[in-house]
Amino acid sequence: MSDTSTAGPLLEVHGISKRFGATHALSDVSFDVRPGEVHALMGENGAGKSTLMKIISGIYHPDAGRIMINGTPVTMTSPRDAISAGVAIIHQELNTIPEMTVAENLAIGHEPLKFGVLDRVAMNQQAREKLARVGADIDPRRPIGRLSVGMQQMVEIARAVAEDAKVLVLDEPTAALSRTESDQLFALIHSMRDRGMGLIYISHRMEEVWELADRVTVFRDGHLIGTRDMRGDGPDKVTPGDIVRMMVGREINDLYVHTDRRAGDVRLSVRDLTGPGGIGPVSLDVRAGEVVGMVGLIGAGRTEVARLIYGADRRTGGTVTLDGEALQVANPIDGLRAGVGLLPESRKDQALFLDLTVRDNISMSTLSGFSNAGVIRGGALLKAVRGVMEQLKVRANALGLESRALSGGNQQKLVLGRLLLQKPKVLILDEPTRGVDIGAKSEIYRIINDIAGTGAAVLVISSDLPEALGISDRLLVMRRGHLVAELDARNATEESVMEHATGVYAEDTSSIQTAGTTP
Amino acid sequence: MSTTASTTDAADTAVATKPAGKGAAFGYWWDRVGIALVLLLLIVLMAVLAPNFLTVDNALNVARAVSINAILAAGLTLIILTGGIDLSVGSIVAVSGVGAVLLWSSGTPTPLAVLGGVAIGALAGMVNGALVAWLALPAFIVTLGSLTALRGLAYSMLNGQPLVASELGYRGLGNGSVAGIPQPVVIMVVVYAVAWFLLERTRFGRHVYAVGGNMEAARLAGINVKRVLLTVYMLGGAAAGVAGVIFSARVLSAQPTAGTGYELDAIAAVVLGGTALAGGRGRILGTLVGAVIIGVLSNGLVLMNVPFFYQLIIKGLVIIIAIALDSLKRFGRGGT
Repeated sequence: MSDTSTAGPLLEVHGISKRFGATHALSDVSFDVRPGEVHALMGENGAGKSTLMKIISGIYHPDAGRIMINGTPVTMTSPRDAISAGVAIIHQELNTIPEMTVAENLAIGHEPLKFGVLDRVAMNQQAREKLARVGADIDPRRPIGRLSVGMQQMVEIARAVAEDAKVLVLDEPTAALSRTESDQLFALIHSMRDRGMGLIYISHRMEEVWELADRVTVFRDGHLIGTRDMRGDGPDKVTPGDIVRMMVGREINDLYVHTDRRAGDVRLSVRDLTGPGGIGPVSLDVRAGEVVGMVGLIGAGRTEVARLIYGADRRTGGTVTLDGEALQVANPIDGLRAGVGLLPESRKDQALFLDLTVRDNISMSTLSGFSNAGVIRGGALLKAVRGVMEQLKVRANALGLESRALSGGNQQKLVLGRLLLQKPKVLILDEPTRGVDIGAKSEIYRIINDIAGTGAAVLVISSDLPEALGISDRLLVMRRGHLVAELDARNATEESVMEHATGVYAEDTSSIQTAGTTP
Repeated sequence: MSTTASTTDAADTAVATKPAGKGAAFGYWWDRVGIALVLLLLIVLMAVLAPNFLTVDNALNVARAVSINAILAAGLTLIILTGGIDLSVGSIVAVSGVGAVLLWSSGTPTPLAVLGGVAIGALAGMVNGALVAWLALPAFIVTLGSLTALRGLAYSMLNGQPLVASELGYRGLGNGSVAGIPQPVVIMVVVYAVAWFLLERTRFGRHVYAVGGNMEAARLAGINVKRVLLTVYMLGGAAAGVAGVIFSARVLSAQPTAGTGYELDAIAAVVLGGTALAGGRGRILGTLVGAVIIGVLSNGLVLMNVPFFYQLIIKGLVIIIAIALDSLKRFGRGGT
């Protein structure tokens, strides 16, 4: 890496423990970040990564242990303390005020004044300088909410760098980024590293960690399982398999589940479907027992097509037929009745009822089937819900828990369970494994495979290319609202998919444009 | 934003093992018995401080005095559970009471006059609900408007003058008793039984919680969100209609000023009972306890001869303290 004068670590934590009630969220964790390194943190949801990050960014206070910055012990009682000590965190969900401009967001807390009045010229100039330091070419006068997620993230990083952060924590930074945006982010991470900053990189994506990290630390159940070297030929050098073993405590031989299926007749047939915002015309078929992956950059129109088929949005033209019958959907109620199931893109905003129990969440779409004149037949409902939970491998004693108490993976399984109860003929899954740990991922793949095995037509939207390639029979590639390619998943490669998704013939800026217009 | 992460990381392990830790355990128990405990404490306090508080007669008095507010609050609970609000319930009390008296005095058979009054309330609620559901107007604004408009309607139905009806056919609904229990109290119990059944045992009830908890998720889950909204406002209006009919029977007249300011006590009862104003979370029996707390407090303070203006101050403080305890519970849950 780069040669820096300070030999010791930028940040050290020693023997940190944190309990929530009877649960040890962190037990005796020691860990450090050196100048000029990218230190990856991996572990399933609930393993303790976020808790540790909250401790070093001043949100939680540890029950035991100490934190040292540049060799000096520090006490941090608020995020403000952490920032002045040089630790900044870029949360998975961005911390920007959408209506304000980029410059205003960057200036919050220390706005330049002239005669007691906000000095806009100076503010915009300062913003330009801050953005230039991270190599971002963004107009500081634009409302930040109009920028793509990736650009907003750049602004947040620019703020952290401007505040002189020595240690920067990135929590799942690529979860909502397109490939191009991710590449830009990686370039920036490299340059920050080369300038001697210490970066903590939290991710579920092995390829990214492999590409970026110098060291990796794995957490499981609140314990630090180990820190390993990922560069050079030292004795600690690991393989991806080692890391997965450390994370799950067991082997996951075959992450992607794809049994031999034979596709039957066409169940879902879409012809010249168009929707608002330049979507379509799109035509596609999905057969019984087939899993079709839909890939493309963010903003390519995949989610929009799914919502048009289901009736979540109104289509402006085209026809959809299901088992040969025309599907006229004006709203999700129609889509559901006709036998279409949709797992929406955002679990928390569009699918879950966090205050309601597991039972209510699973049964919400199918209560009519378990009611007489509107009165719920509790016994029958419970039996059906239990059956689904068994199928999903969710512990039965979770039945009465509020869904907010579950991990991301289990929450996603609840939403899948709701769809299973519907017994859909066509199942559309929009990013089914986003923000889900590796154990739950393999479960979800198994469930998808099972559903296809029962003869349903399954359309899976995924931004995780290895996943899309691993579980699909066919791949449909979308770009700028249109289907641009259909590939056999057995022969396709990540590269061939990306060529179609980005449109290699068009100049590079156009693909950035496409990625920038996220909904 | 940081709270989201905490629910995946900390809560995943913490809550799955049931209420762990002091904060969470407090939340767990407060959720179930907290507000009832406050009521019990209040009753003990009043029994010690207020002369004649702990008598059967006074208990019936409190129950009768509470019934109208409790019935309003029951309907309002449904609305607030969907994340809405109805500020016009007090005015609906007036319009439906006036309507029922006018129907009766124009010769309509008594049962029909009573039903007519309730139907007027339901209709007023439906108009509110239609505006909220189909035009997607904010409930606060819509019902603020109808609060004024319906009050005007009540005046115009009577040309501005109260109408005395001392021989009112359904006067028993206000002043009669069944087996020693005042009729308004019996009606209140029936209203709560129906509301409880609707919320806990029917598909509609689950949909109410779903719409209030996450409207977009409810829509995508195939719930007819507009119909649920229309229905809760209609039921809320019907409950206000019932309260209006009882009120007119209590005062044996049609009063255009009936129910003025009642929405505030009703909202207070709902919130005291633990229902979140944001929707999706709350229990109907909590609302009943909340209404009784307000009633016991008023009654006890009167018995102690506390001047009216101090009563208002104390009532306000009690509401704030109860809500503070409630947010303590949320804190114990680890942030919502």
